[in-house]
Amino acid sequence: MVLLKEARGHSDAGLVDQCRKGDSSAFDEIVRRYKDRVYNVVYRFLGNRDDALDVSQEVFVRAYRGIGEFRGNAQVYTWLYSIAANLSRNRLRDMGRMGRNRGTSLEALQEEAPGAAGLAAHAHTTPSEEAIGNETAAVLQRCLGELPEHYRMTFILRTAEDLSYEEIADVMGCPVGTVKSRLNQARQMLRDRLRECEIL
Amino acid sequence: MDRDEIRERFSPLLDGELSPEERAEVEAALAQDAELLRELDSLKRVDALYGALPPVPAPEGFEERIHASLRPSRLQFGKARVLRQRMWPMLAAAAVFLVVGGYVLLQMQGPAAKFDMAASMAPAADRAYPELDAAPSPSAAPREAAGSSMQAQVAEEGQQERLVGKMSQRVSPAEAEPQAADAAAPAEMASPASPQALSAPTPAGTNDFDDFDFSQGSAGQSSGRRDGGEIRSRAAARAPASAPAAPPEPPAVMADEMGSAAASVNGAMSTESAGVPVELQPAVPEEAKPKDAAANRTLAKAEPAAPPAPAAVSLSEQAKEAPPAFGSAYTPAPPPQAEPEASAVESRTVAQRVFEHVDKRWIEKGYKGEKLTPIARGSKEWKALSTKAQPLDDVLKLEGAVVLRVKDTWYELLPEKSTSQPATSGR
Repeated sequence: MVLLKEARGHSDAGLVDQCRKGDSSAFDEIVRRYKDRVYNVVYRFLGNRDDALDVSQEVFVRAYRGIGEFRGNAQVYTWLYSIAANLSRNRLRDMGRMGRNRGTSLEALQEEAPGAAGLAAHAHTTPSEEAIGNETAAVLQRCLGELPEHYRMTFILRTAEDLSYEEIADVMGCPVGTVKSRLNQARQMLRDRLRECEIL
Repeated sequence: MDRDEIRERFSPLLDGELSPEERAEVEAALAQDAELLRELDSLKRVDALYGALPPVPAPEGFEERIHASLRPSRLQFGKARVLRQRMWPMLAAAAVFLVVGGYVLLQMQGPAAKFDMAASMAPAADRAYPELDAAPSPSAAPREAAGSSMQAQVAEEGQQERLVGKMSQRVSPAEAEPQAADAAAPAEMASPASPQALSAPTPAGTNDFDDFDFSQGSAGQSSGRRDGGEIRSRAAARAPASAPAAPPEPPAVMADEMGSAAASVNGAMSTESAGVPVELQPAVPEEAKPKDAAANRTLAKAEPAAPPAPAAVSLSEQAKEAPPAFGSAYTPAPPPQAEPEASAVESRTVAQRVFEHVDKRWIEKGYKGEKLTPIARGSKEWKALSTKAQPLDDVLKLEGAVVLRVKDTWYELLPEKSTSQPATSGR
């Protein structure tokens, strides 16, 4: 407990230093600080709780094992987001190979069984989403899932995590101009898609 | 600035990423173009919708899951990682040391123990690896050239120990034969006639114990081999070369001495050495032990502490009386029952009274520790007690103190030359 309290007083960089010295409580503090944000990004990207849990867990495992390679000039959370983005894309491709992303679109659900979209959407919503309506939240999530991977992650990092363009560029490993372009494209695509779904 | 250029700046405008000048330009354009303004409003609604999605927290138990995943990796950092990396060689070295040390200790128990061990293990080895019987011993030729029966015996023992060693290694029979021809086999550690094996250099770079090839030896292995050889040489030097003659005759030990010796080493001896059911057969000549060694393996270990005596009484019974091994349930043996003759209390009947001689006093039967009144022989008090109705003169014939009762009073008739003060307490 003492170590945990001390760790909570450290900055992110201090926690990383402590981790490098073998202080496991420092990494526990990093997990405590960023687990929700990492999980939220991964969940929004994958749209599935189980996969989000697995990937988020793997994010921190990778971070723990690779903390020696962490660049001190970057933020811990951008580093974690970059790991999350890579692992999420990998998971998405694995899901695609396994055919698990079949039916994630609203059209696919409607084709398989009319009304199933609502049920499926309900299954993938969180309690907090009930405040804005399960169906609306599910449609928003589905539309988000239809975005190209890079657009999707860029949009999530901006709207859900409020990262700056420079931070998003750091996470995505692309120029700021690319971030600007992707965001613009993502918003327009979502607007069009939501209009089709009569949300807008 | 055309409409497409304005549209490209919608996102930076919404995100506050435009400079004041850029922002002013876009706002000026939007003020003149209602369609562009509607587009911007729609994008704002998109942001508003997704911004209204509440963040999804990690589920409960998330940290525990990470801890569980990281548990095997927790030691990979800092000193713990270094410590773990260094622990394996240390543990392996300790294990080798224990094995070699135990073997050396076994050897130091004497040649009889060595013979016993080998002989007891040989049948099992023969059964497990019958094909090795035909395998030529790598050091058989020099041994035969030596012409010593003792060496031949030791060579046979070495063969047996090789078999035992291979059993302990759990090598497959297919692998066993080439290893039998390999002079560096670990079971040959004690083989004295393998100089090439004793002097085999330690292969470099074999400190990785995961890939450690014991058949090729190592520093610890070769040292153990040398130790075994030295011990074996000492064992051979102790024993006469001509024949497995009787070892130095142990002193004759009486039966009770044997029992006490076994009891005295009870705390230090192992179960085998001090165990009760050990069949000690000291009457058997030492030269016969190798043949019977399988059954008497523990006897050899017990020899230093309790050398067998060529006593006429079988010491197996003594061993049964000896306390059991340290740590086992031990109930002290009851004190030996006195012989009927020795235990009988001398009694005499004097003056129609029965006296028993106990503790140098003649005590009249019926005395149960009552208070004694001292009385001197020939005193007035004594004469007063001795009346015609109760003549007590014959009591004076009893030598020493006499305890007797006269009229419900117990007296102690003091010895004749006693100067001690009369006792007033019971016995």
